[in-house]
This record gives sequence, C-alpha cells and structure tokens, in this order.
Amino acid sequence: MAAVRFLCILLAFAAAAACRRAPDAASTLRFHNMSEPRTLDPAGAISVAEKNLLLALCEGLTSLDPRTARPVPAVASRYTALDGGRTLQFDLRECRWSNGDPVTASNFRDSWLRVLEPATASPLVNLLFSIRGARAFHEGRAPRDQVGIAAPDTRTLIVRFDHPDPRFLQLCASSPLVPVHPRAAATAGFYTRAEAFIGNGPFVLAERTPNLRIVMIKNRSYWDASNVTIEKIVAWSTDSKQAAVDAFRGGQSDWVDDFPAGQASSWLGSAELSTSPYLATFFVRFNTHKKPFDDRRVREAVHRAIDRAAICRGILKLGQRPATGFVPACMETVSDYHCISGPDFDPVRARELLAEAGYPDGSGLPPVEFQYDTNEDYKKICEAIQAMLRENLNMRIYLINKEKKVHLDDEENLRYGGLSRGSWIADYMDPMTFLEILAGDSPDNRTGFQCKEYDELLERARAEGDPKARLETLQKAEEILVRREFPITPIYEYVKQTLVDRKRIVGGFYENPLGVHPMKWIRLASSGK
Amino acid sequence: MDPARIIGKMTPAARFWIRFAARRAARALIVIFIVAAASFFLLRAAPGGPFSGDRALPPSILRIVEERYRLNDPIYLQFFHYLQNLLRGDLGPSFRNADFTVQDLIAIGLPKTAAIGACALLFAIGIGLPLGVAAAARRSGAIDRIAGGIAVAGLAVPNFVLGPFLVMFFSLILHWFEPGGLEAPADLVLPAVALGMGPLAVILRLARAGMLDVLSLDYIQFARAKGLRERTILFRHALPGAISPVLTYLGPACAAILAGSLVVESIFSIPGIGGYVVRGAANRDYPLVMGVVLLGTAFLVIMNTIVDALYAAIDPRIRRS
Amino acid sequence: MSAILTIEHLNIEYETGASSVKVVRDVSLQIEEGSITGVVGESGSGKSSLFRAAIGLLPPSARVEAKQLQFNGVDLIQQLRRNPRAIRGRRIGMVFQDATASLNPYLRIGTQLAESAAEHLNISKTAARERALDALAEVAVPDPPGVLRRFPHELSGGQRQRVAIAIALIANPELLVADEPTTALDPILQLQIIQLLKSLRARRGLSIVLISHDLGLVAACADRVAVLYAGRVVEEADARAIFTNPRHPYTRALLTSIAPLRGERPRRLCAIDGHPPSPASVDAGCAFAPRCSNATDECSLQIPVVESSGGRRHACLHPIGDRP
Ligand SMILES: Nc1ncnc2c1ncn2[C@@H]1O[C@H](COP(=O)(O)OP(=O)(O)OP(=O)(O)O)[C@@H](O)[C@H]1O
Ligand SMILES: [Mg+2]
Repeated sequence: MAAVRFLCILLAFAAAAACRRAPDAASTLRFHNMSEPRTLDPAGAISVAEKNLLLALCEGLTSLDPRTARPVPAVASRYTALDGGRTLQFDLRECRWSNGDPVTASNFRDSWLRVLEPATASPLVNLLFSIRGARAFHEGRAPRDQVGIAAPDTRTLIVRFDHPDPRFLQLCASSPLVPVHPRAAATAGFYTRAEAFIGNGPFVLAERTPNLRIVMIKNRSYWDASNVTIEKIVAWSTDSKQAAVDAFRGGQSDWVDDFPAGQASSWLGSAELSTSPYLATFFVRFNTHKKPFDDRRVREAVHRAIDRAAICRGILKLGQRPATGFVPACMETVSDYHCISGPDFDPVRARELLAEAGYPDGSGLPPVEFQYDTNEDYKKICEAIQAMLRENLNMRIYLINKEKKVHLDDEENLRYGGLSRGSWIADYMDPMTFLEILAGDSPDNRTGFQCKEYDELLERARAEGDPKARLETLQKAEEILVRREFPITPIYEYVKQTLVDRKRIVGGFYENPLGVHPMKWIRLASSGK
Repeated sequence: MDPARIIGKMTPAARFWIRFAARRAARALIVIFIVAAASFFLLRAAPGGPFSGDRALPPSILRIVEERYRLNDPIYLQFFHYLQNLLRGDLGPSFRNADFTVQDLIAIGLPKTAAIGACALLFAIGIGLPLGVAAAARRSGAIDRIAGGIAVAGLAVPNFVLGPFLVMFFSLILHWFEPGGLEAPADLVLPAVALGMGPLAVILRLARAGMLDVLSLDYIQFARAKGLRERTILFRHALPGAISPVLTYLGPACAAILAGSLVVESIFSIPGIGGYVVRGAANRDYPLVMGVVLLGTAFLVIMNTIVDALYAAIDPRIRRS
Repeated sequence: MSAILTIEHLNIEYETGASSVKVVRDVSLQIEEGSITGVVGESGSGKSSLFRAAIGLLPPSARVEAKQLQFNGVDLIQQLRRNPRAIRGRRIGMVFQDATASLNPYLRIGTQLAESAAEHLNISKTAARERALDALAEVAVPDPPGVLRRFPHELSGGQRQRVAIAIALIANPELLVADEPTTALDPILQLQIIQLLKSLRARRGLSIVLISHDLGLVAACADRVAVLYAGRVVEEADARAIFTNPRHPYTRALLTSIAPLRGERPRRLCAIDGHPPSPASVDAGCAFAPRCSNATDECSLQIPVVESSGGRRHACLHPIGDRP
C-alpha cells in the first residue's frame, strides 16, 4: 500500500515536472504511438503503430472517414464498379508527391505489383489475392502482365477481380495498398532520412530517431493541404505504456493510443478517457491435439463454464462486452453481418457435457496447462478463468506465463499444454478478417483445428458474387466455430481505450470500430479555426 | 631489414611495449571470437524466432525472409557467414528496425551511450579518487566521514532506485534538470550521476584503502624521514601505489557502466545502445544484439588494455617481467 | 667533546584503543659529536621508538614526554612541532632496516636522491643531479650515472642500502640514525656497510647512532654503547668497557650469546633463556629480574636507580663485580 502511495506521489511530481518543458508550438500534435514501427515501408507495415504513421505519410485511392472508418474518395476522386463488381475503375484526381512529381495510376500499379513480388516478402500480401492473377503471380505461376491491374492513362486505374471483393475499397485506404514513390526501393535511407523521403500523404517525414520518436511536418504538395491544420506531428514510440501514461499526465502528449487496461480505473469518469467498441476479440485457444481437448464436448464444457460477464464486470471495467461469438458484435454496426453467438454461461450443461465425454464431475481429467504471455491484464483474466473452471468443472489448471516470443513459438508448434490466450484485431471491417485465421492452412490458427466444411465455406464466401449470400456463408462458418467445434472459446470484445487531451485536441478526433485516427482531420486548440 | 634485428636493437622499454601490443592484440581477437561464438549460439538457442508476432507471417513469406537472412542454413554455416561479414565490417540488418542496418543503429545510439558513459566514468574517477585520497590523508576527519557515507550509499543504492530518486529531487522538486531525454549537455548530468555513483563508491573505497595501505609502508616513512613536504609525499610517493587498485578496477568499472546503461537509459528515456540489447533480445533481433555485444566486448577489451598499459607505465616492476 | 643530541627523562607511550603501553621509560642519553653510538637491545625494547621520537616520526598514537630533548642546542620538541622538515633529513638523517622497502618502487633512484637535495639545499634541478652523483660516489656505488636512471628493483640489496644512506646524507645532516641498517643483508655486505659508516664518520665527522640487535657489529665500530631492556637504558659505557667488563647481568648475557664476527650465521639475541617481557607487563621492580641469575626478592620490588661512575652507568641492584 505504501509503495502504491509512493508511486502516486512520484507520478504527481513527474506531471509537475513535465509541465516545465518548453511547450511545443500550438500547431504541433504530440502522441504516444503504441510501439516503435518495424518499418515505414507500406509493403512491410503490419502493426497498428505502423498503420497509424502510414495514414499520415501516405494516401491511397481511398481514405478512411474518421467518424466511421468507411472508405471515402482520396487520390481517387471517383470509383465505379463495373461488370457486377468484378471490375473497379478508379479516376485519379490531380495530385503530387512531396517532391512535386505527379501521382499517376502507374505508380499504384507498380506499388501493388511490388507488394506481390515474392522478393518483397510483404506480410499482408494476401489482402491483394482477390485481384485477378495476383496470387498466381506471387506464387510464380503467372507472369507480371497477367495481373489484373491496368493503368490505361496516368489518371485511370482499372482493377479486375475473379469475384467481387466487397472489402477492396476499404483495403485501398491503408497499407499495403498505398502507393510508394518509384525511388523508394532504390534509395538508401528512403524511410529513415527526411531528405530521402518522398510521400503523397498529408505529412512528410522530418526526423526519425529509432526507439524515440518520429517527427512529421505538413506536406505542402498535398492536394488537400488547405484542410490540414496541424503543422507538425511528434510520434513518440515508447515501449513502456506506463511511461506513455506518465507523459500524458505531464502534458507532454496530446493522445496516448492504447494503454494498460489495468490502469483504467484511475481514469474512469475523466473526460480524457475515451473508450469505444473495437473490432477485436480476446479468446482462448484449445490445443485440439491434446487430451482432453481433442474432444469437442470438453471444449464446449469449458466454453459453458466461463462466466464472461463476471470477468468484464470484475476485471476489465471499461465497458468490454462478454463475447460468445468470435466476430465482435460491433461488426454489425459497420456491415450487414449478423453475428453468431455461442452458448451462454451454463455450468450445469457444462458438467453434463463433461460427463458425456467420460469425465463425470471432472474425475479422470488430466491436469491442464493454461499458457499466456507475460502481462498484468492477461494474468488477472487467466486467473479468473482458472478459478471458474475449477469451480464449475473441477478441472485442475496450472497457469504458465511465458515471454512473448516463447509463447508464440509454443503456439505455432502446438507445444502448449491445452489452453492458450490469444487475441485478434481486425484489419478491415468484414467478418473475413476474423474467420480466416481459423482456416486449416492459416498460420494464425495455432489450435490444430482442421475442418473441411469450414474451409470450404470460406472458399465459397470468397467466390460469392452476391454480398448478402456471402455474409450468410460466413455466418455458417462462424456457427461451426462457436456452436459446434469450439477450437477457441471467445471471452470478450475489446474496447479501445485511448487518452485524449480534449483541451488540445478539439476536433476531428473520433472513435471508430477500427480504432484509427487519421491525423489529417485532427484540429488542435488555436490552430486553424 | 630483418625484423629480429630491429627488435634486437631496440631499448628494453620499446621491446616491452611492442610485445605488449602484439600479445594484447592476439588476446583481443581470441576474446572477441569467443564472445561472438557464445552469443551467436546462445541467442539462437532461445526459443522463438525473430519474425513471429501476434500476426504470423504467411508461410511462403516467412520462407523468403528466412532464406534472405540465411536462417535456414545449418547454424555453423550461419556463424561462418556472420564472421565473414564481420571481417568486412558488415554487422548486418536489424530484424526489428527493418529500415536500419545494425551499423546505422549503432551510429545513432552510440554517441548517446558513450556520452553518458564517459561522463559517468569521469564523475566516478574525478570525485571518487580525490575524495578517497583526501579521506585517507585525513583519516577519521570530517572528509573521511563524509566519504564513508557516500561510499556506503553509493554501494547500497542501485541505479534503478537512484535514477528515479534523482529525477524526483533534482528535476521535479528543484527544477534544475530535465527529467529525461538528451537534448542539451545539461541533460547528461543526472544519468551520469545515476550511472557513475556505484563505480564512484568503489573507486572511493579502493583509493582510500590503497592510500592507507601505502601510507603505512616503509618507503613513506623513509620519505618522511627525508624531510619531504606532506604534499610531495602524498602525491609523488603515495599516489602511484595507491591508485593501482583503482586502475585495476577501471576495467570492471567500464563493464559496470556499460551494464548500468541498459537500466539508466530506460529511466531517462535516452535512446542509446543499452536499449538495443534489451529490446533486441526480447525481439530476437540477432544481428542487433550481436553487434552491440561485440561492440561492448571490443570496448571492454580496449579499456582493459589501456588500463594494463597505464599499470605498466606507472609500475616499473611490471615492465621488467 | 660535546653532546650533539641530549635526551633527558624521555617517556614514550602508545595508545592502543582504551589502554596504553609505555615502551620507553625514563630514558636519558647523550650522543657525542663525531662518535658512533651503538644502541642494542632485544626486539621490542624500544630502540626504534626512542630515535624516531628524535625526528618526530612516531605515529599519531604515540605520546612523547621528556624533560629535555636537545639537538645542538635546539629544543627538538618545539622545533619538531613548528617545522619538522628543518630537522628531518636536514640535520638528522635516518636509514631503516630494509632498504628494499625504504626506496619507492615507482620512482627512479635519481628522483629519490634529487628530491631530497632540492628540498633541503634549495638548488636547481641540475645542481641537485650533480649533488646526487656525488652522494652516490660517496657511498661507493659503482656507475653512479647509470644507477640514477634505474629503479630500486634493478639494484642489488647492498647497493640499495648504500643508496638509502646516500639519500639520508644528501643534505649533509650532522647526525645519522641507522636503524638496523644491515639486518637484511648477508654477513659480507654487513661488514661493508659498517666500513662505509666508519669511513663516513672519519671523512665528514658525522655522528652516527647505530641501532642493532647484533653486539658483534656494534663491537666492530661503536665508540659508546647503550643497552636497552624493556624501554630502559640498563647500561651505558664505552664500547671497550662494555665488552670487556659488563656490569649489568643482561649485558653479560648478551655478550655470551654473541656471534663470532666471521663464521657461520650470526645468532640472535633471544639466545638468552626466557622471553623478553611485554612492555605492558613491566610495572614494578627490575624488568630483567625474572630471567636474571643474580636476582633477589628485592629486585622484583624496586626499580633500580641508575648508578653512574667513571664515565659509565648501569641500573642494577646487584651489578657484576660488586661484592655482595
Ligand atoms: N604504533 C604502535 N602502536 C602500539 N605499539 C607499538 C607501536 N609501534 C611499536 N609498538 C610497540 O612498542 C614497543 C617498542 O617497539 P620498537 O619498534 O621501538 O622496538 P625495537 O626495539 O625497535 O624492536 P626491533 O628490534 O624489533 O625493531 C614494541 O613492544 C612494539 O610492540
Ligand atoms: Mg626497531
């Protein structure tokens, strides 16, 4: 207790001290990004931190509306679906790179082909696989000119698909589909040195100090520059979320993107805390190759024995919603998908299932290991689940906490002892972003779950021309997950907790289910009108 | 000219220094090789790979990346390639900071770490040595008592406690310094103190004990009997003998400062190479960790060589053997 | 002849923690100008303490009390308090038992010689060097210019002691206190050092105090001899008188244990039966009484008074040669 009080005093002083720092200009936005970006090359970007930065440095054919995260025209002033959605035609507006070169349709074509090039090793390459011939080209089965991307003139881009892809306009807004300047791959230090960097976004790179910060300044050549009021952005890449929160308290930061949920209680009720439904699910994986979880009845018993509402109320407290389905309920607010919910908390039925599986009252159950990666929040949740399973199923569970990389390694090789904690954040606003990861060949599956029917349903959805029928197919797939097979059991739907200094950020900052905050729109106090 | 003849014609001192340099260079290469091998294999023995993450890479992409960095070769071959590149002065790319090479990162981080490290060492020697000597010269006097307090505090308070304390007191209460960052020379003060306090305490104790030892020796008595001034006795006669233990400790002191920089850099938010090791290990960024470890090893080997050279320069008896 | 150093009723106590030990008791002694005075006594009898007091080299824990301590008419106690460097090295030189330990291993011989010269004679660097060469020549070290450049560990043991003597004498002091200058050397070298001391006395008229365990050595060169036992002078006389006609039983015991000057290794003084008393245990009576064959009950009750007659003195109730 004394230690806590001491810490609080320390923090208060830290706040006081930080105030002393010479304040940045009123038109400078300072925020704490979630982590150090691995790369600023859109072809390699994968993490939320990288995407946050690329939204400022690059602009795709579309961009995300800050309120809804839905795609709106950007470099493309207009897009037209032809041929029942199998062809998209983009008409580009006249806009320029930061060095004055015009942004052309072939810039987009070449950038996308570069992503597809095997040598680029782009981690999100499969987002482009709906483009005709893209997968074949990536896998070396077709030549480059067979990929369905054409630039008949400098301001027209035509993309052809095997099947309509309802996600594509969304995907165009962010990496890896934003354009890179032709010099990017060939120039040493392109992504690290301000002099070398060329971009087409609202901001350009001004300074990059690894593990410290990235500074960006307004791009004067940006087509919509007159609507950008921020002159400068300082993005701190703090490893320690605690340090980020401290800096925020000290007024060194206008916005902390994501911070420890365990800290939330001290912010509850304050105007600075912003929580919003987030397209992300916390769940537990079963190792379906290991006794007793090779039996679906045992998995279902576990699913029914967990009181999710108690976890959300007792531990999380930020308005997270209990999840019995894999796709978060807020998907319904951004698409026509109807989420599937699994069975509710029902310890009686759970014990019946366990008895059916040959473990009446849990007798005969081997001890089970529940593995998680080191983190205070995860620890509390896993402990709660441990207690519930012991209480309701008489299941003996050992919690094993491992360093992150070791945890991932164990998951990938199915080396964990039975249960493993996991989470998934949507890449785009479509159930596919969740359901895909439990496909038999997905590297993110990590449960050993392999279901032909499920994989076929996903394939069918990809090929389905009718949007409504496509979503129904995906619902059938989700039913397999959370009503029949239970390779995972969902626990809760995330909220995105963000700290925002509302006295500094007075406009253009909205909550949306993707948790993205395009900085182009943000308005600071006394900057602009 | 026949090298043997050249050596034969040299003065004994010159011969000593040439042999010293040759032997040290050979030893340095062996040490660096051993450290390189040990860290190379140990790093790779840790479970988990550099390219795993919350989101797994598609298998085809992972294969390409692993091939590019030769991670699928037999490990001895990987090591061989690493050494080959090392000899060419190429430390390889960073896996985690993919836009930078290890050289880039070191070039960015090293000046910061070197600045606080050098300041910490200067602080430790500049305060510890005179204070220790003064404490011994006026044994049980006021200075001795103050020095004793400093030594106990310096040894008892680890840098991860001292650092936050300094921040609280000097930047949050007194507002003399910034609580973190490295923008102005004044920002060096608190990290250097946090980092140098431990070595300072050790140097102070060694200097005091060494001085007391030496002051009780016959040659000091004889110097007194000669009627020399106390100052001459203290500085000319006693000091060389008294600082040998301090010199011997300089090697370990550099190691302590290097290790301490891992912690202190994170307390003061200084993006130096100390943080690279911590993050590099967590991210399995093999080339980055290797690069920094080898740099640290080379630094320690050089420091130890300098220390031994100083030792030989001060004590003529060592040069004879 | 006049006394160059006069010691009267000198007491030295060491404070050790709570208690204190008296190691020199009521010593009175005169060193004649131009003489060699031998001071003998067992280990711990206070020989070194006595003469260190004369140049103020005792550790801070020592307390010195004296009725008089005069050097050539100067009050040493005052002078040492005011400006010890006017005495040390300048007017009284001192060499110690182990020259290897006395010379600073980190400094060249030249430096160690010249710094003394420069300190006391107020001369230039080059003049100090000249003076150092002369001093080395005086103590008969071969190749003085070469020796100047060397470090102590590059010299032989005998050379080192000669160098130490040269350092002690470089500022032309009037008195040299040689505290067991030969103990660390082999017999041949011992004799050579003694020869050197004698020649220095002859050439310069130097007064010398030769502290030693070894009566044989003292016999070879001393004019007068003082015998110390447990911090007291028990007998003092001309060297000839001491050796031919000792009055104190302790002196006689020392003489019977004397080593032949030329022969095998010299034997040590503890060849006397029994052990020397610890300074703390001596309170009443004659300190030698427990080991003395002549002792009576009286001896252990009463401290013997010093009897002087015919240029000699002793402190014994039953001196040898007196009829009972
Ligand atoms: N610094 C000191 N503190 C306490 N006692 C001391 C100290 N120095 C000497 N003594 C004691 O004083 C006594 C006399 O010592 P001193 O060195 O004068 O004898 P010594 O006759 O020179 O002996 P030796 O022949 O062994 O040199 C010894 O009992 C010794 O233990
Ligand atoms: Mg002695």
